[in-house]
Amino acid sequence: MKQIRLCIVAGLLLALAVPMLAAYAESPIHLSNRLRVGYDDNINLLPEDMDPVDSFRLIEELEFLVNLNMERMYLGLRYRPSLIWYTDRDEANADNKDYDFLNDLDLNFSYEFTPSLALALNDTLRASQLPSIYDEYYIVRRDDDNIYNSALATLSYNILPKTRLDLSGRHILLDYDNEESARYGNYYSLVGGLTLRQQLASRTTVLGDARYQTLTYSEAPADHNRDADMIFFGLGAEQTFSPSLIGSLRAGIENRQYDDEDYDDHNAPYGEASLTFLPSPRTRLTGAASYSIDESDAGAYLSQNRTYLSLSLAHDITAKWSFYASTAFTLNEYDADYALDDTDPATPALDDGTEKTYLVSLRLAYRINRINWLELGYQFTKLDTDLQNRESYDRNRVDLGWKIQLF
Amino acid sequence: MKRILASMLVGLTLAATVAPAQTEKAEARKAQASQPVTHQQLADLLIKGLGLARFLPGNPSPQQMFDVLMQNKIRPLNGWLMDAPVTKADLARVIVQALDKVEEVENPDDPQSWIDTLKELGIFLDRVSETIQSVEVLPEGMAQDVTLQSTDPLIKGEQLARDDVSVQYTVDLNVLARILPEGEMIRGDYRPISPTPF
Repeated sequence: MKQIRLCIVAGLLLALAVPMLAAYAESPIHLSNRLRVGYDDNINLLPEDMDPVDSFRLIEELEFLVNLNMERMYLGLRYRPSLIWYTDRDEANADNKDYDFLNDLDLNFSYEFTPSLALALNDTLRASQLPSIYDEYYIVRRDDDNIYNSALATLSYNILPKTRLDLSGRHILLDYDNEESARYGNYYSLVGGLTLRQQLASRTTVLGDARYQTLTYSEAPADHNRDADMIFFGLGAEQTFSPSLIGSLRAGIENRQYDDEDYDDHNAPYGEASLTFLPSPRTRLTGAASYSIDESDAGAYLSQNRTYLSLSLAHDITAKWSFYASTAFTLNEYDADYALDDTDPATPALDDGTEKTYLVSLRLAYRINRINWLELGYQFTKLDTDLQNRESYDRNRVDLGWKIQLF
Repeated sequence: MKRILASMLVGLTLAATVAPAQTEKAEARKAQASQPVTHQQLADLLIKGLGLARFLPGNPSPQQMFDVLMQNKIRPLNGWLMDAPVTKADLARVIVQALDKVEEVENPDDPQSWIDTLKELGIFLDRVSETIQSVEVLPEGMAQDVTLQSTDPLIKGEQLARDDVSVQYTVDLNVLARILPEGEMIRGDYRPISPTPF
């Protein structure tokens, strides 16, 4: 709670200081606030037969933006602290905290050395305070405070006017505070990549890429070794089909070598496609599909085969009313050949399994004036799993929100 | 005296070599400045001016930029084309769209009407770099979250163990993130466990 008070004080100071900075002409600084009040019918993600707990919730979210655009340099910074407070989370246990506190920071920097040589740096930081939650009979989660950071550097060089080479490096880090969570969850990953793009015409670009990635669970014990090295080779194309239709396609092959020699190499194709279509000036449609080997959501497996489909619609009903809808479906397939061995003979061996997740999200927004919006949102989520000791659930949430752009 | 003469000689030699180089650079700059601005360059300026870079990977491709602009209902009449030069009609149209003033255009089918709308707003189209200064960060910028759908290890994101409130395409799409991620850390110690008092 002390940290929240500190954040509130920091927020107030920020609110006082930033307008002074923003008062300068053509200020690159912007601040907005979004407040949402909502209802969640399953805050602990429990199956229906286990009496899910429902709760009202309040989400307070500040968004602080810096957008500095100069002749050769660009700096974009977004900091977004969010407090999510649940009215009924602490009914069962006095140790429970009734809030989550999230901090999101996104940094984009680019610099053009010459017309043919440019550098881009991107950083994504997510710091989450996720206190433990105990239901009457269950540990819903332990203290899961964590920091996730992804830093990406890309150097682009135009070899020829229509040929570009990108050299990229990325460092990813996930770090839990809690010792138990850290032991099995902490990891870092290094990625290096080359991408060659060739513009064929005014509407078409083809590309080829190569990637190398290492994944290290830094604190995992030897019998829970999920470290791996991956190599990717891919080809792709980006195409403008018509003034209102644009799409991209990328496909390739991945070789995944596990550090634990008991497991065979995992070779599999991957692919992704996306389309954006504007059927009318007021409507936008975006669809995406992808398939790949992915890091496992279930800790007892080394990896999963993930299929992802999504479709989004945005429609301006009038100049003031807008409607947004999104759906997403994920199929995660787990192979018993890549399940962790258990030395305890009492524990049954893990089988093949699948998990399906479904999402429907709707939002209606009303622009009161240039700086104020009202919004009504609904989300349905469902997990359908046949993995051992995992529980299926579904969840409905409704939110009513107000957003104001302060400056 | 010899040193002075030697220094002068070196200076003259340097001047003789540097001056043409400077002239070449200046000429190159002039040549570049005299070339028409392309859709690709305009898209880059808009992405940065509107604060949409956060939806894109580092040094995005032209089509990735066009895609995000289209998702924010910004496009020239005949669509985005990488090499096409920007006309006044193109510029007027995308600036009006970026300012969210489309409703003020009297006759959307007439390119001149878009130019007139900008003039009424006090924005002129003489230089792209100056006109672009009139756009501000979009308060409701949106794009499909590429980190969710991507298979590229340089782009794809972590499904974080948090009840994420991020809004992309202005609706929550990342809400499936917390699928009991801590429940399976050790085999035999799954949580939640059916029903086991702790």
